[in-house]
Amino acid sequence: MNMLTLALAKGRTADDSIKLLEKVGIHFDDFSDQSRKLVFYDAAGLIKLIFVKAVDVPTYVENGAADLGIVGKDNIMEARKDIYEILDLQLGQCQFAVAGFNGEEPPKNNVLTVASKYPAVAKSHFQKKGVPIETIKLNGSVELAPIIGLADVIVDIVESGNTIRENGLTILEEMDAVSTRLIVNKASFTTKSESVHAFINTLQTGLE
Amino acid sequence: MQSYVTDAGHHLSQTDYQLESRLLSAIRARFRTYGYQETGTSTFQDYDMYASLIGTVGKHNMIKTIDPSGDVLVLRPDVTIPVARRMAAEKTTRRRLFYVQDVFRQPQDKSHHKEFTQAGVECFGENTPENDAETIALAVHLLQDLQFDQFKVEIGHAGFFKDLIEELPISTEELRKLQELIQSKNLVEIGPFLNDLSVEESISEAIKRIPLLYGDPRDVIEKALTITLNDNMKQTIEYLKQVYHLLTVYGIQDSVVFDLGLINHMNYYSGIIFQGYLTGYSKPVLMGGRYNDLTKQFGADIPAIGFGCIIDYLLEARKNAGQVERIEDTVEVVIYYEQSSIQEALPAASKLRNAGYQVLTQPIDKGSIPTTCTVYVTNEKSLLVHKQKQMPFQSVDELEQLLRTEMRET
Repeated sequence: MNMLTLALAKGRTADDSIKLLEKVGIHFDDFSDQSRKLVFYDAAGLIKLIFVKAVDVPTYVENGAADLGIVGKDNIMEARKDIYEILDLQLGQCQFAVAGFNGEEPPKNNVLTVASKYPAVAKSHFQKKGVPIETIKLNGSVELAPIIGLADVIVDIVESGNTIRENGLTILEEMDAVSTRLIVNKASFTTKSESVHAFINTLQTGLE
Repeated sequence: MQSYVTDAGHHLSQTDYQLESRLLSAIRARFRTYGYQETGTSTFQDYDMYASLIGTVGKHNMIKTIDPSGDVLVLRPDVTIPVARRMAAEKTTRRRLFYVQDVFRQPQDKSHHKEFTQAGVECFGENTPENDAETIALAVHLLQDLQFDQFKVEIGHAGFFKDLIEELPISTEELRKLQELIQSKNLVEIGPFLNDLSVEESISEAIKRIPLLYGDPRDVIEKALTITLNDNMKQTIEYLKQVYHLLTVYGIQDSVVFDLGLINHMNYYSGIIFQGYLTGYSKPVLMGGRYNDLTKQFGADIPAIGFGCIIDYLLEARKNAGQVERIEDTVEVVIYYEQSSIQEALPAASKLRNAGYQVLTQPIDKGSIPTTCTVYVTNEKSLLVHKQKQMPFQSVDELEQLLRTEMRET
């Protein structure tokens, strides 16, 4: 069996992902998201876990720097990488949504401006509807954009909708559902087939 | 001073060029042993031809130029299409051709290369499971030659998926999405997606299982038989079974896996498709398949199969795997001469070069050059030195004789 490299997204679902791995018997004794360490080995010596920024997980996996990745669907959709997306780990469930001021007509003669951490997702959503848009890429506090007039609407992931409401915005349209997925490098799927399939099957038992 | 680095093209170091050239001679030699002849195509191709062929290279991916008459030309975005067109134009029906050429594509991501060296084969006029198996065997043979110890060739069939979706009333946009889901083996989303389309239950069940039709060919065939819906699909599975049998005769069954969820973005494939992966390298290094209908677009009807490998990837993979053989920077023979003996030295060099030796000449007082054999031609002596052995000679013929004996030992 080959040792597999698993890229785990830092952030809100990291702890739950580790718990899921523990549940199926893959233990990382020294793991702590407070630690500055970025590489961990499981007790059985079969998995090398690298702890990376969520947006980078699809890149690591596509390039084969990691065989497997655990990351949110939001980042997968934005990155549009050539990878296998095998399992839904049912963690961090939320939803993409368009939000803005309620009742405000979209500008008639101007192109709709959309602020988002996910410009590619926003673009493809509005393209499907036949609405031309301009995107503004922001890295945080996206809700601010319509308030200060930087954009007409935002596209973001929404869990409870509290942040949106507290900033006086409304969800105008619900988009795709988001949750944490297991992604796999296509070459590893083929050339390290035995270990990769064993891992997928093990993880699957934790989901049932 | 000009900057050393630009992002205009790809950058190979001198060592990389040497490695690439060795790689290419090994590949050319292997292609010839399967009866293929070298061919080539023009760097400039007709934009309209590519634009009118549906499902080949996207318009955005081609690098365009405009000639003085205003016609749009593209830098060769692929080799198969111009080769197939020439086959049709020359009204030839059977030919085995190989090429080593650069192809140019505008990458989506600016940091990727625009230029790739591709080496591939195109076999026209044969349409049998034997021919398919032989082509896959050649692909495997090639990867073995290049000493990749672990690799897998994934085999699928373009017809299987096409036959299945033929009965579906879905739009091009929905089809694109469905292909995307199958290609990423996204079992999570295929189900809900098909439900939304109100696809007939039995077809929907079959489509959902396509991504699982992966792995050991015998298992895949068995599983596929339980979901095949129409006669065409049954025939496809029967055909794949024959090809698999032939691959076992070639003894390469351990190097292949079946993946009926494999979909190639080149839409002209009509039958078997395959791609090769190396352990530890994330991109497929070779891709190909059967394209029996392509020449129909040029008014001929010649069945064909082919594959191409991307040399840049192979080179990178070899370097990653630490398989970089030492590049010799020594020449075989250096002749040092005194000015008074130049009359003997230079003709001697010509003679040795005619015999195929690599020879440099150098005035004896102008420094030395790294070499395997050293020859001195001076007034006092004519001497060949090799491995600290000194061998005097009287004539060039004698020198050649000595060299032949010495070089044979190394």
